[in-house]
Amino acid sequence: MVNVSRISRPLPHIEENKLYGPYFKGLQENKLMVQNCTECGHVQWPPRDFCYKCQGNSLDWKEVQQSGKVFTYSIMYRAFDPWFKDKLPYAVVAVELEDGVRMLGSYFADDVESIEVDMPMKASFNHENKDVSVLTWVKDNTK
Amino acid sequence: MGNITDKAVVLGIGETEYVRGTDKSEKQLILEAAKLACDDAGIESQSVDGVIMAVKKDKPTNEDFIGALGIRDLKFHSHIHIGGASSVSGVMQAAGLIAAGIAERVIVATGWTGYSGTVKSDPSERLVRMPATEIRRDLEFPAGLLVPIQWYSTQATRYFHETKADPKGMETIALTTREHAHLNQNAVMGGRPLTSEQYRSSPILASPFHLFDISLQTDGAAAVLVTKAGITGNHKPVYIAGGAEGHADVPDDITSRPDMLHMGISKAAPRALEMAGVTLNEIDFAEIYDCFTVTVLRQLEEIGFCARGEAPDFVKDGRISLGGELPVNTHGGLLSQAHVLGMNHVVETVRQLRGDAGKAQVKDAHIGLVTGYGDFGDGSISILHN
Repeated sequence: MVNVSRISRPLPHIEENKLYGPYFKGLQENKLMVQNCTECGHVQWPPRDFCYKCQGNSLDWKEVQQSGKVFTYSIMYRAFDPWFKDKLPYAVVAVELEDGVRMLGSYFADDVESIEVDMPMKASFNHENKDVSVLTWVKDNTK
Repeated sequence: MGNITDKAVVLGIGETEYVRGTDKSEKQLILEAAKLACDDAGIESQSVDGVIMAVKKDKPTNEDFIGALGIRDLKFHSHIHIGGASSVSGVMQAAGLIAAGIAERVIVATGWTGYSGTVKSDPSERLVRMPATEIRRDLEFPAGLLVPIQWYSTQATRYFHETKADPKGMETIALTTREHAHLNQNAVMGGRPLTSEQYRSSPILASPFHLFDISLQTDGAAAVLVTKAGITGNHKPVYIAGGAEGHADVPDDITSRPDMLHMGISKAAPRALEMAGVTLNEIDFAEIYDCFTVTVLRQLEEIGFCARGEAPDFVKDGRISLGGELPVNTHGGLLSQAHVLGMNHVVETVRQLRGDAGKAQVKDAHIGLVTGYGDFGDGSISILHN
């Protein structure tokens, strides 16, 4: 079969980024994983080599909830990567979860312009191929 | 007063023509600007002994400068990589070097072919010199957050939500800056009027940013020659009273920053003012780094000219226009003169303090404030006087 979609989505480079490994693996399993400092208990996102709070380097991982509220967003009317061109307008949303963790994802929907700060959102997992999944956000209509 | 106060001066300024379309390389433009700064100062370029490259890439190298300027004895060089904060930060490095006795004649130069250079759409090309590769490549790009317009649009959304600031402040910045560009012979948008109607009907690229909230892509370079106070040249010296650099908490990620409105300049501004021994009400004019209109509003607030959310009120009714209480971006800025990574802001500050700003001259200008802003919130600020 001819592959008509020659333009691929920008995907994380999981091979080059061992630091984020448990996060990438979590996405594959429909989970959101974040770093957790075993020394001071600081919950850290995005992942770093050291704890931003206590500078300890003993970082573990924990799962966080998959729903939260829009902390900020922007609605995109121009694509700066060809894959997003036929998704316009789309939003980029930072959703605040428990422990103050804010995770980024796209929001693709017909009602994209209705998005607002504090709107309830939940995670959706796009399994792009057998190794790589990407987080997107959808409205959480249960809230 | 700080240890470096008035130990160093800006003696020379150099700018290439600012254009949209050039055959020249970035290296060539930057070296030309450096030579122009020496010529302007009336200092033999061979006698330069320090080079600070506030450039986007690693070229030109110190060897390129040695060759082009005929430098006989280079005693110091560095590259600064904090984006648009690099130019002002470079001026402060130069002042520090001079105060420490490490060098006496220091070129600080930058420039780029932002228009003619290939604007790459390949995400891997975008990562060149961008901090925190993993955050960009593995979290932001897959989410569709790819370029500075988009990073800062998310910050602007939060700003207007949190402070209830009036978004009309962005329009005031765009229109005022354009008015100032008309007074400048070397401004890409000079002579091209911008009305409120045009501003409002321009496309939104990433909400809340209209086209005219976004800085230009241009080709050009600028440089200054910073020397030890006492070295004489063609012009009256402009003294560096104080300055500072600052980095946001956290420095590399806007959307995860606990206080999303925190910026490097929030820390740098009080340090700079204390070092210079001046208060904000003594500032006669300000050249504020303007990658986006909202970035000017935000810096005015974080510097302390007004409280968070109040900048739209602060800037209205002509207060930041030439003739107003605090003229801002009298050269047209990155929004309407050219995007020269903020070195054009430094050059304009010097021109104002020399009294050489022509139609854009601020009356009785004695103390000027100039800022830089780069990457994900790095800030730099300098206070100069005549």
